Amino acid sequence: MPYFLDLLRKLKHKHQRELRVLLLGLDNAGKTTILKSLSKEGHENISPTRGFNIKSLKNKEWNLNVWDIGGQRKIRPYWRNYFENTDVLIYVVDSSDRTRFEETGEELNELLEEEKLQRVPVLVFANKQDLVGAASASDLSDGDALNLQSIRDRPWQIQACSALSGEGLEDGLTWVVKTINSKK
Amino acid sequence: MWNRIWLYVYFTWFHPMLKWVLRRATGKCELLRICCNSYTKTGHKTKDIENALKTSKLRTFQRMVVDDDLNISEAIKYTMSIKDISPKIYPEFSSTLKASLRQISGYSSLVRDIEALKKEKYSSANQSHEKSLQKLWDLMMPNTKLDQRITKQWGELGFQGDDPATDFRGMGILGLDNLVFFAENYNGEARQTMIHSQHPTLWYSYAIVGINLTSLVYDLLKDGLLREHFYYTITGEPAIYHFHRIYCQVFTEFDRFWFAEKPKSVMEFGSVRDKFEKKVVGLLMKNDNAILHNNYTGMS
Repeated sequence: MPYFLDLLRKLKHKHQRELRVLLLGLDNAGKTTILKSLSKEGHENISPTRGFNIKSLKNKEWNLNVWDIGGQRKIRPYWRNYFENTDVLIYVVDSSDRTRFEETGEELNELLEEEKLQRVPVLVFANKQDLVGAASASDLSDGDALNLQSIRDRPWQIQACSALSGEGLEDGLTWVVKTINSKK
Repeated sequence: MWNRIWLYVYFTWFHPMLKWVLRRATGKCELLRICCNSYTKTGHKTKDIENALKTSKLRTFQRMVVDDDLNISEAIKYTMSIKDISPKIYPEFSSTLKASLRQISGYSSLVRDIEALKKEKYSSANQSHEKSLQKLWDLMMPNTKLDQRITKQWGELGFQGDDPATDFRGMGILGLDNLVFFAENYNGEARQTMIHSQHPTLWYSYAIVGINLTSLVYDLLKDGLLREHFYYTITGEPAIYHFHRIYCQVFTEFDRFWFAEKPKSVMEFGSVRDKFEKKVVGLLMKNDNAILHNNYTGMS
């Protein structure tokens, strides 16, 4: 992803800054696949995440520590243990699973009400665009389930992507870095 | 660094020189020396033959180790003609080489077969997949009926949501087959493990952890770490059945390890899993098969 890396290099910071990125979403949304795709690893061997995975996406100035946390309902209560000092929240939605839009919307809205995540910018990845019947990013942001249009207290963005092909991931991260840069 | 230089020097200079000297002194080539040697364990012999083939200058010999569909009698014929080994003088050579080649190439065939199962994605439209899933439920929960195909009940078995279909991910049907094999052949152990996994504070998700362990055993196989274990414990080619059996042993062992580690919560699964894997790999490297101990060898 040359553009994203260029952008990182242009940033003014002299010292490498540690950024904490939280990757959340329902089970089977594709969080681990996104993380593997971003760190250029294969995704043929993924199993459901118990606990969490951490990966550092590094360059000269920035070190994105991405925390990918399991999405099953039973382990969602543990999400809050990872909220502290989060710079950006990335929320992943399976755009092809319409039966769970309501559930994923409820989880997102609960996250946005968390005190420790106040004003933390949120990027929504509308994942699995490679599947037939996937809802588009604009359908999702305008729909009632996610209710993104009502977010007023923080920068937000929705980005269509496919973790399998890698499409859209770079654009998403570019937004993340730009947003943080303008904040600091 | 020094280690690499030493290995380089050893394999390009010393090893061929040593082979040459031994060949002159004994009048036998390396393969013949190994085959005529009386070893205490047959597995050692296979290991030595594997190494001899791998380090051979001839491509045909090198390929025998990785070929997943080796024609063994052709390979033996080739070896005897190229090494000029007379069956009259060394009648035992061909049978010994055959036994070892079955183990060596059998491993590569097993990797191929396991890979195929792993690549087969779970599909709700596939009747045999669906039957297998139902079978898993019936074996693990003999006293509870599954109300319907899509139900929250799957959570009791340790799946994530109301449809296990999305939980097999990269492990495909191999993950399901492993779970069914454990439930079918070691029903007591499997159900005991599941009950352990429902501990009020030290709980983990039985099926999901099971699928993660499929991934662990698959990695061991793929990295060749089970080669020696199979050489020592199985005569002939290892089969899918043997892979399943190792899985069952690893699962029971993991359960023990998990409780001994006393993790604060299921969120520590990743680090406990990594620690466990290191332990298993360490034992396999030391060729100490204690972890794959004999609880299970009684079954046939």
